[in-house]
Amino acid sequence: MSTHNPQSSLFEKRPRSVRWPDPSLSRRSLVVSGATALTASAAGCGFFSTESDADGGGGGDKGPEAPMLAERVEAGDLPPVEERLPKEPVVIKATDSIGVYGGTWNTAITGASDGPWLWRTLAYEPLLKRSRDWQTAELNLASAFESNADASEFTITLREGVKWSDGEPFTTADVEFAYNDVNLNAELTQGIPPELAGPDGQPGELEIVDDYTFIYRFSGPKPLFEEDMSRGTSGQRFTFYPRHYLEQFHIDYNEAAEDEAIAEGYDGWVSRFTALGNLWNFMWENPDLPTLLAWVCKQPVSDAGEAVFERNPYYYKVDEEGSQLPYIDEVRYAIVGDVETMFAHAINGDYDFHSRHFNDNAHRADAVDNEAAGGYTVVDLESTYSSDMNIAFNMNHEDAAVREVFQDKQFRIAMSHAINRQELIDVLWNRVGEPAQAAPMPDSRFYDEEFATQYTEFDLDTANQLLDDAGYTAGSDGIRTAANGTRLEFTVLVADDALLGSTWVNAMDMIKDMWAEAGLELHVNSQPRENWQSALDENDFQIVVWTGDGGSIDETIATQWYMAGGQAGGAMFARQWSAHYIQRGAQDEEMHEPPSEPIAQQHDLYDQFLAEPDPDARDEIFRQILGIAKEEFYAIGTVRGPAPWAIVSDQLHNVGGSMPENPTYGTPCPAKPEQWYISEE
Amino acid sequence: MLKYLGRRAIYIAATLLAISLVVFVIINLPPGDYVTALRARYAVQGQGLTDADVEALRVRYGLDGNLLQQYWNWLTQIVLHGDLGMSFEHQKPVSEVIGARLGATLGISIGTLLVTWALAFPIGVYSAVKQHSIGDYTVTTIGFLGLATPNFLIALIFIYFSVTWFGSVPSGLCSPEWCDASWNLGKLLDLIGHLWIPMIVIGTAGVAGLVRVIRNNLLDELQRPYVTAARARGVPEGRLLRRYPLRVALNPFVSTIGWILPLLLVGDIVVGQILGLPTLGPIMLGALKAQDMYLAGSIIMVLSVVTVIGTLISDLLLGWLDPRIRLGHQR
Repeated sequence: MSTHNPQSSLFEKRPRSVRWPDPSLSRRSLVVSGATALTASAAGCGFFSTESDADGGGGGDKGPEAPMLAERVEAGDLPPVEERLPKEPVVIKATDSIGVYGGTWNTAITGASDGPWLWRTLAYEPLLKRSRDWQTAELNLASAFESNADASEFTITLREGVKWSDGEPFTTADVEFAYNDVNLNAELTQGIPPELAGPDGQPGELEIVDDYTFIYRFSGPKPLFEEDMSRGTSGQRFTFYPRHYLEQFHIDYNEAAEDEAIAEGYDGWVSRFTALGNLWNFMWENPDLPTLLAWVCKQPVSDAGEAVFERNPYYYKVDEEGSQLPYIDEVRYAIVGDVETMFAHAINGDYDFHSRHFNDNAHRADAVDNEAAGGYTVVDLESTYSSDMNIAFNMNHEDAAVREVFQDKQFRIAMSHAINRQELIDVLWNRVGEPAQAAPMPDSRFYDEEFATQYTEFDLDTANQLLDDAGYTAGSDGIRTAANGTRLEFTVLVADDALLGSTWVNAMDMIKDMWAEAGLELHVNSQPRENWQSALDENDFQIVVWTGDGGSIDETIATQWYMAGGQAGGAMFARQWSAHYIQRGAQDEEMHEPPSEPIAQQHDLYDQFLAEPDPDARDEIFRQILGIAKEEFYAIGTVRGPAPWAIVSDQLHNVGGSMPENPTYGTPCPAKPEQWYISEE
Repeated sequence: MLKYLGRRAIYIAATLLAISLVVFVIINLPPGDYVTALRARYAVQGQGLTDADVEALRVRYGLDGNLLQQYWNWLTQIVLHGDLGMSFEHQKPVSEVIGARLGATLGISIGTLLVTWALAFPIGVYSAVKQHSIGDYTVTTIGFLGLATPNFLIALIFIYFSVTWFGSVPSGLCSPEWCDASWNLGKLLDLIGHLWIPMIVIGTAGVAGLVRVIRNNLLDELQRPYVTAARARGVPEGRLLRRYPLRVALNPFVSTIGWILPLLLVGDIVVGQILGLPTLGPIMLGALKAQDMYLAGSIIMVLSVVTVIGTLISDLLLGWLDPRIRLGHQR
């Protein structure tokens, strides 16, 4: 049977052109009917063709909009591009060159639990947006953002004419819904999101002025509100909830929401609402949920072997020539559970941009070796960790005798001197890295060389001398005992499946031998991250290690190595004191002892920091906090190794080279993937 | 016969009940629960959850009651409503998560089973009939290697050679350029190009085991006096083999149906993870790690049901195939 003879193929009888499904149909049904449409439109190729009819590769013609959207406009399924764009679209300056439409950004995730990578690559459309170097904020969804003199009241204007991905206008009605019905709804949002809370811990007051303007008022000064509104989750609190779609799932707007949810297999309306549009980590994975992001979900992660996001026809940004962004048609995430398999794909050149999972030191050499064959470049990112492994002693340990040892600064200094960091670097960090303490790193404006390097020289004599002087006497087996009778035999808990997990386990095994020389017996207990977290939450550990967050970029937010506070449940060296501060005393009955004097002093200073409107004065206050941290030497840093790296395909343009690697920064979103483009040249 | 089936049905129900309890308890044995896992994930993203958040999340996910209560809720929902519960991780009803992957899982498993049989049968017969020949030693050696090498290692070796020699990574079930394409010969070829690797990787151990079983059974039978008697009567060698010893040696094919399917699915857990297959294996591993207990529990229950029913079917088939086997009690 010849494939060229139209009469001979069964499959030739199907209609040649197929109308795109009505956009008012749900996207779920679009996936289904889209499949049939694809089958039908492939009629020209016929079943016996071995050519793929899927769109791949870039190089589409440049016009005011992507060719795939122009086709839909022509077919009458989509309004013309001028009507889809806001009055004043955000103009994005291309990093290197004006791009072309088309192509697919290929990358990968390990599965549904890997939400952070989706989040980092797609979901960064706050009211304000940080610049690529993270130093300044630019207007994004807001077209104006003004505060009053004492920074207690903020007047925010939304960009007029921005539309959700289904074409509905985005207005203050959405903000009102987001604030009153989601953020302040105790069933949907636990506690008060810190960025919405004023100095008194209570949420601010929202006043809707008109369709595009709203005022947010705190009980007192909240100068950091502007910074909060330019960060990932915080900055999207007001703008992540399409009212016209989500109302039907909310009990306040639809009395039948509960019954409907149960009929659909959910526990109740809260769990349905959460699944479809509230859990920040996954909500925009609902193909029906309208979003403001550059790419919208076409196929969610949990469905099959890959997740696919396609361009948002109503995206509100254009390039300098006025062409609607994004350039790239779709983002495709292959679901690869095993990191080594993912790495094999990466060095084979199957990913266009990827900076997660395998981008550690151990894989770097292989990645560089395969650059030419795989058609990509390894781009070194800027590390923002003070050290790759900080060691925290639990100063809030339930055993008073143990925590007395851990609270002893001389003990910690001695233990720091007992670590041969150069040996760690030579053996485990491929000889690339430098000794570092848990202090702001050289890139940071808070860098203090003395803080960053104190007690890092390997000096066993000093270590032993310090311990002798502090009353730790060595027993017959060489292990010391504190004056209070505590034998220096401790266990360090390591999360072995973290990115640097295996390095940590090996490093602690080496430090175990080093510390034995100083009279401390260490046991290394490695655990999966979930179990590790569980021990941390229950304050059931003696020593833990983790990355030195807050080294630069987010020093003042990720403060957990500098004071008892910060993110992720607070400092690992003092969980209870952190909880005392973060939760304003709500859990004090569980606390073994009140915070020490310097800790309490830092808490006062941080309160001042939060309320200080002047940025320079704020930095000055933060320097005082760091001064105390330096003096107190809460935790031991080890080695700052080479930064993580990214794979950038030779076909992918406008990435613009290195950028910081940091969870707060959300690498690579501030590099504006919407203006990245794919081209063979 | 009906009485026999009825009795077996009661045994099956009792077995499944016991399995469900054990499964639920084991899944809940590790410290922490899904909310702990969620907290760990949020923490990595720089998003701390307070203890109040955590408590509220436990209430939302129904993790606040005691274990027995949670077990009872889960079981009654399954039995009375056929509702497997919600997957915490996927934020979807478990049945949807499993349903989306059941096709690929069964497809790969059954395909593997057929490939296993198609390879094992002739090899087993050959190595029994030509015992101690070079061919026998060769397949025996390869078979032992296949038995002794863990599945995941074979998968990694495949990937290594595939990357270094062919410049492609054989993971998933379609190449990126074909995933979206409509079905045509090219896509079918692409699918087959991806399918043979999991089949071989998961099937090797099965082939090796089955070859050994057939070889030994057949060798036993070939020594029997009836074979000698038939040969003495001048029955041609090929016909003799087919008519008598081979039929007896067929028993292991049928009697292993019950446990070979779950074995294939278990093989899929690690292999599916490494090869990135859209099957149940990888999500089961993820569910166990994230303590997504209803999802993990439901997958294990599905496996158990398949095993138990498969065993019943293989018992019935065996009774039909081999008249020497009697079902039910002997009078």
